[in-house]
Order: sequence, then structure tokens, then C-alpha cells
Amino acid sequence: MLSLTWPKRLLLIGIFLFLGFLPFIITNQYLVHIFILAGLESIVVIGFVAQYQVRLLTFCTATFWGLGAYSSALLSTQLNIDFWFCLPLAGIITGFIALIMGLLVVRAGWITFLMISVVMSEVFVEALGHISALGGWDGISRIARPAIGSYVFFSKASYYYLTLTLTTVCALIFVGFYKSAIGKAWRAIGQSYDLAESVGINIFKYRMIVYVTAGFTTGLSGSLFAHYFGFIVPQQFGIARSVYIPINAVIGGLDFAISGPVVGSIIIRAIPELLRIADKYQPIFEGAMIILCSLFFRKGVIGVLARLRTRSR
Amino acid sequence: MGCWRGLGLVPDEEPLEGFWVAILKIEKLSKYFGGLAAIDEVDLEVNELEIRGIIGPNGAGKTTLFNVISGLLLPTKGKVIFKGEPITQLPTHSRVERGIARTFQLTNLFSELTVLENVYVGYHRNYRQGIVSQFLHTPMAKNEYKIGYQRAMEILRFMGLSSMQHVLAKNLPFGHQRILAVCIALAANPSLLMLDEPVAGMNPEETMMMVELIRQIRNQSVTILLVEHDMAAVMNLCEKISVFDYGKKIAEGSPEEIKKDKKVIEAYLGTEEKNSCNA
Repeated sequence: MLSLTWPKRLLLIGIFLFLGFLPFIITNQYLVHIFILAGLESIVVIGFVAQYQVRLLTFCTATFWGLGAYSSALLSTQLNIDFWFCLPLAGIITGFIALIMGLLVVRAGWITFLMISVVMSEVFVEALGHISALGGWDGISRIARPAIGSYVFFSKASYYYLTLTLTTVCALIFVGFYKSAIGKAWRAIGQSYDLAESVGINIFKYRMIVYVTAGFTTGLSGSLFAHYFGFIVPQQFGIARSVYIPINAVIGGLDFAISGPVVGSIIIRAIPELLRIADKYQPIFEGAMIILCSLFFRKGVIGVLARLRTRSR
Repeated sequence: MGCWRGLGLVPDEEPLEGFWVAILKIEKLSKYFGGLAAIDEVDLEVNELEIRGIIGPNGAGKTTLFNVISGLLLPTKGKVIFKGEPITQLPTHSRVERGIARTFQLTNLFSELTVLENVYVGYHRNYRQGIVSQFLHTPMAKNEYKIGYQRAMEILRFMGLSSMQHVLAKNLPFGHQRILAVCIALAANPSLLMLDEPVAGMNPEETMMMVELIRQIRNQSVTILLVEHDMAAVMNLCEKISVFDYGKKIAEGSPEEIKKDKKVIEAYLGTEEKNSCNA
């Protein structure tokens, strides 16, 4: 399934070893927390990039994230369902909503699609805020941490491993698509709409596959997010968050479907923290990165690395 | 499949009406853009295994006709019949499944994919495995994947591009890009191949090569319908030519007949009155 060259394989193994032993390497609990956030966010960004590959430019990724978080939180607090059922159910519910929304909006032209996604993310927050049965503006609190038997995923390190597992699973789902004929069709649609159509690719169908899969994985990530913080409020999933998701993708590199989102999310989350400027200067940092990327490295950080490698050869 | 007589399905003496000897049939087709008729009540019949040329001055509606046949545009009125089946309202991908493939006037490639991948994407309509099977990389899906690549390689070899299979499409020289566009269309295993200005912008040598390739494609039992401005190439290649002007078909016949046709000469050179106006 994965036909990679040896240097690339070694690199991948190295990265996995590093990520696998990260809680032992980094003892700072706050940094582990940052990596958990980056992991959850990178799942969302992977979904965004997949949609971008078929030229579905969306500004409601956080809405689907919120849908996952809310459905998981409600199932857990209202119906006392165990986390291990809430997680897949959150994914399925979000995927199902994506399916219905997709049937309505995926056929639209790209600007209509974009505007509808903006409207959706606004409506979502307002609706949640005004329905008191769903927690209203106060949101939902006291969402239980996941547990296996008597073991509760309470420490940052244990939750980090949970996040790492889910991120890997979601990434593998998309790798499965990208490596198959479906992924080829996705890339074809992105590069020439007319030609893709005229070689017999059913563009609507392939866009729906992306939209629903991205909805599903984003919902899974939302579920883990809700159970990590223990409380959620509607504003967390507003348009502001949806606008920041694409920034991660651009900084990582839009052409790199898996590595781009992961690296982009880690950079955006970790570097301001490491420089201890996060509280004040996070937006400025992100803005500066976007300007740098659009001026000097259009293909993002991964693009720069790839180019350095080809140059050194 | 091309010759019903040869297969003994039809007695030699009987006329062939009722069979789809005409692989593509267009009846009273019109396409209006606002009030303007880009195609106006056009009838056209393309027989199996012929190389049919469509010529005409700029704005005669040739490319619009192509877009209507391939399904990128829906006609205002009229019918498109392919292999005896009306396809007027079908979406493009269903038409490809029935065997219509096309190229574009401006070079249109998947520029960030390699030459081989480009052709491989063209093979797309031949896939029979479902989404799940492809996603899980089942042996059947892998097998199809392999067959797709083999078929793509065959086409590249046939068209003389196999040495460049790993080059990105955007880095190919222009002439080769045009050939690659034809390769992509061929990968869909079409029975009707529509070429929109296949030799536009080519030098005489490249043109000769392309003309020869198109002949060879026809010999692989593919019917060819082409729009072209290069008269030498059209006269050399086509068995029958339809001439369009202002959205109407004004003449049809063999190259020799077309060269002598008064209406055609008028359309291209203008009538004497028009000429005096211009002067």
C-alpha cells in the first residue's frame, strides 16, 4: 500500500518515534497540552485540505468540529452514554449532517458554497446560544473524561496518546483515499474541472465523498476536544476558529495533504508558546506567517523542505 | 464492431437504415446564448469509423457544437443521438461512459501530475470497483489499478510518449502536450473521439506527426470528429467535411467538393459586395 523510498521511510519512523515518546521527552505539561491541541486541530485541517483538493473552499470547519463536540457532550451528559460510544456516534452524526448539507450545497458554484459555509458557521453559534436545552450561551460543562474500566484518561500524557491514536487513524483514512483511484480523481478535479468531467469523473460524487469523510473525521476530533476540556461553549466554534483553520493549512503547505496540516498546526500552536508571546501576539504571529508564506514560500513549510532536499541532491 | 456487413448481421443488398451506422446523429440542434444563435437548427450525421472534419470561420459555432455533444452545455432545442440512444440531457460523465471522449481547444491537462498519471486519470471511467473496495485497497481494486497503469502505458507507447512518462505535464514541450491531451481522451476507450483543433499552433512537422497519429487511432476502430483551422491538415486527413457559418451548416462533402463549393468560398472570402465594402 505504501510505496516509499528508504530515506522517506526512515524520516517517517523517526517522526513517529519522536511523537510516540513525546511525553517522556517533553516534561513540561503545558507543552504536552499544546501538542494535544495541535493534534486535534490537525485532524480538522486534514479535512479542510482534502476539501480544498477538490476545490471546495469552506469556512465552516469549526462548525463541524462543534457539531462533533456538542453531539458527543450531549450524549455523554444527558444520556450517560459511555465515551467509547460517544466518539464514533459523534463522527457518524457529524458525517450524516455533512451528507445532508452536502446534497444541498456541494453542487453550488464555489462562491455560493463559500458564502453558505460562512452563513452556516454563524447560524450554528447563534442557534446553539439560543436553545437553552442545548446549554445556551453557558454551554455544556462537566463532560466526563474517557475511561477504560477504572483507568481514567486524566493525565496530559495519557490524553496525548489518545489524541495521537485518533490523529493517526484519521490520517490513515485519508491516506487510504489519496493512494487509491479516488485520490487520483480528487487531484484531477482540483487541477482541471472541465477535463476531469470530460474523462468521465462524476465530480459531484467525488466531492460528496470528501465532504462526508471530512465531516466524519472532524466530528471525531470534536468529540475528543469536548471530553478533553470538560466544558464547551458555542463561541468556541464560531467563524473566527473556521478562519484560523485554513491558516494552519497554508503554513504547512496546501499541496501536502497529511504532513502539511500536521506540521502547520504544530507550528501555529507551539512556536508562540515556546517564545512565550502566545497570549498577546498569537494573531500577529499568524498574520506574519501568512504574509511570509504568500510572499516567499507559496508551498508552505513542507514545500520549502522538499525543495531543499531536491536542491541538495 | 464497425462493419455490420462484415459480421454478416445484415445481408449485403439490404439498405442499412435502422441500424446505427451513423454513430452520432444530431437533429435540429440549436443553442442560443441570450438571443444569439450559436448553433441554429443543425443536422449532422457522423458514420462509424470515418474521420469527419468540421470547418468554418471564427464564431461559426464549432466549439459550441462540441460542447453540446460532450455535455458541457445543454442545447436549447434538438436532439443528440449516440449509437441510437438519445443522450441530449445526460451529464458529461454518463456520455463518457457511453464512449464519447474529447479534447479541448486550449491545452487542458492535469498540469501537476506526471504524463503517466494524466493518462491513468483518463482511464477512470473503466473502473468497476466501488468506493469501499478502492478505499480498502482490496486485491480486485489493486488489480484494476494495475490494469489501468498498463493500459495507460500502452497508450503512451502507441502515441510515442512513453519515454516521458515521469515528466510533469506542465514541463512537456507544446507539441507533446497536445499529444498528451489526445492520450488522456483515448484512455477512456472511446468509440467517438472529438478533437478540438488538434494541430493548432503546431509547426508543419508536428502537424504531419499528429495527422499520422489520428489516422492510426482511427485504425484502432475509433470514429473521429474534429474541428480544425489548418486547411492543409483537414483536406489531407478527413474523408468528409462539414462547413459551418453563423451557426448553420452550409455545406458537406468530400474535400474536393468542399474546395469547389461556392457557399464555402463565399463564407471564407466574403461575397463581392462585402469585399467592396471592406475596400
